[in-house]
Amino acid sequence: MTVRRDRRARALTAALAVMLLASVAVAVTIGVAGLGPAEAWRIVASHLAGDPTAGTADAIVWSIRAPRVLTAALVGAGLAAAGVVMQGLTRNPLADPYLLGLSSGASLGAVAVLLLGIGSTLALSFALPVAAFAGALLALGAALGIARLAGSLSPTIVVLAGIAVSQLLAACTSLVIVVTAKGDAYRQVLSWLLGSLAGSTWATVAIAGAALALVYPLLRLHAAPLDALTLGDAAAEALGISTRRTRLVLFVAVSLLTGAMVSTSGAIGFVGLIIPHLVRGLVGGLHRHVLPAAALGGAVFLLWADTLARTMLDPREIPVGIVTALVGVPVFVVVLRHARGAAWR
Amino acid sequence: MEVRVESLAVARGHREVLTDVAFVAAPGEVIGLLGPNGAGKSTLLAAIAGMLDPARGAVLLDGRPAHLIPRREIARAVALMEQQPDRDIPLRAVDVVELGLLPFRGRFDRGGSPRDVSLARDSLAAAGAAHLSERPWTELSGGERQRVSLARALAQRPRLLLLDEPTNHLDVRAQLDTLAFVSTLGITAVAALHDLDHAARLCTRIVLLDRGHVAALGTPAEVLTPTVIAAVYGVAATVLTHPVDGRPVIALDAATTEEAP
Repeated sequence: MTVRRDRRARALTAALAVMLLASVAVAVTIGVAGLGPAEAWRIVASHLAGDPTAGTADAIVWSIRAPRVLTAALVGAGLAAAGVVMQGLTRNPLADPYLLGLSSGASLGAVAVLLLGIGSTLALSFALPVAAFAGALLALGAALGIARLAGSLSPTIVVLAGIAVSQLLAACTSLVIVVTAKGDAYRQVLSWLLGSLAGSTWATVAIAGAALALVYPLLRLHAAPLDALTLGDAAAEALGISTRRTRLVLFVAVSLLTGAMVSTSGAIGFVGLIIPHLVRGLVGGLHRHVLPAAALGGAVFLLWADTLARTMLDPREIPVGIVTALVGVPVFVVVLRHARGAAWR
Repeated sequence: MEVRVESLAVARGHREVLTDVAFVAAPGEVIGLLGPNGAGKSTLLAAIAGMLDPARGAVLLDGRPAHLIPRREIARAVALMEQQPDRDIPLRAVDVVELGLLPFRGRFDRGGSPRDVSLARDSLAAAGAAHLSERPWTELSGGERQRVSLARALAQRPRLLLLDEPTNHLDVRAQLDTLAFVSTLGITAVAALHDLDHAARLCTRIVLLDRGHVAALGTPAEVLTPTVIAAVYGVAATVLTHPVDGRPVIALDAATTEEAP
């Protein structure tokens, strides 16, 4: 039976991986420019072969769509993995980088750096994720600090503190933008607070990819300690886990991951909440099963959410966070209803 | 494993919750920790498990100070069955038990190998819970969770078993089964217990704690006397002798004071 569950988890992960590849291939052909799929694939193939063609169509597919699709997939994977780990660390099914304020903190950090107006683009693309990381870490520290002040690190208190921090930092982000922005301030506020992948370039692919490549293996190595933490701190200690060190390492890792993702795309909600729940319903709660499946599922989910966001109200774009909420919340309700026993209640 | 507690004091914050606690558990002995709520039973268990730094004195496990032994190493010899958790764990019974193998696993071992699973199954079978293997934790009753927790402790192949209220929330039958099972293991065990009769049935010796001090230490017949029970619990009791096995049977009669001492 257990071996069968392992096989089932592996099969789901493989299916999601195939689905992700197919989604990437299909999504680069979808867009408002009205290019045929054959045309889009020919352009991608020409770049992969190292013999690119020039022209508008080429620029649209290779410089705009491809990096956007890849950034969406990487950010989705990162946020979903971050959600899984936050939920494990706090033993709280509601913990996710967005709800606990990490994303708002990261947004504030990123906006602050943009305002400082660091000259060169290269320095900026480096400073942005670092500042977002610092913001995420600060937000997490504040949420846990407030919870401790309130006398308890119980799931309910942590979530309440996180929501408070999240609201405060989102307000600060909005304030800073509205006071200082020269152009279309409201659009900027929306894209930082609700998330937008419109600014994706090959640089954002590199940032999100590097963060995921760096942090995901570390999270995966902690799958068993995360399982042990679900038993409670005393039980985990008795199994040889240093709970303080494990929490510290993983909280910093998740902040780094969230910071990098938010610096490329703003604070996108619900991915880190819904995807882990969906996946737990399918493969159970073992982190060695949940983590890879959630990362791939988050990638597929955000990729399609963003494809909708950029095409649904053509020619206007909507912040992707609106789509993740519109699609995600009904799905979440269904999952909550049907996942009794299997998922985390 | 031999447990030697030497003039142990443990502080939590500014308050000293254990003061000058001393006793020795010989290999294979089952020691009962008794005492009213807040007497320091759970703290003493945590100290024996090496999770707390003593303010004074020490806990020696086969001669080594427990708090200085690395966590992973101590987990290969000492298992703790904590208070029956009401917590919802999103795992199946066999997964929970497999976590007992964690201290023996390499850093890059992903777990879930057929060998791990069969070891976990063996532990479940030993704890009389083989049939629960694939059941989600959330669907287990209190007694079933207790058995699974015990199986997890056994998977650690412990030489010392620490039990915190192992019979809490169990029905009478499950209580007796659990106690009988622990006494047949032949492993050194220290169990925090509420029920005086259970202690008399299970333990070779009893450490009776009162507000962080050892109020009495000895065999059940030596410790469980009307005088001692009245002094520590504030309850008048009649102690009878069991006609078959001679152990003390405690009948609690009435509270002797308006409030617990």
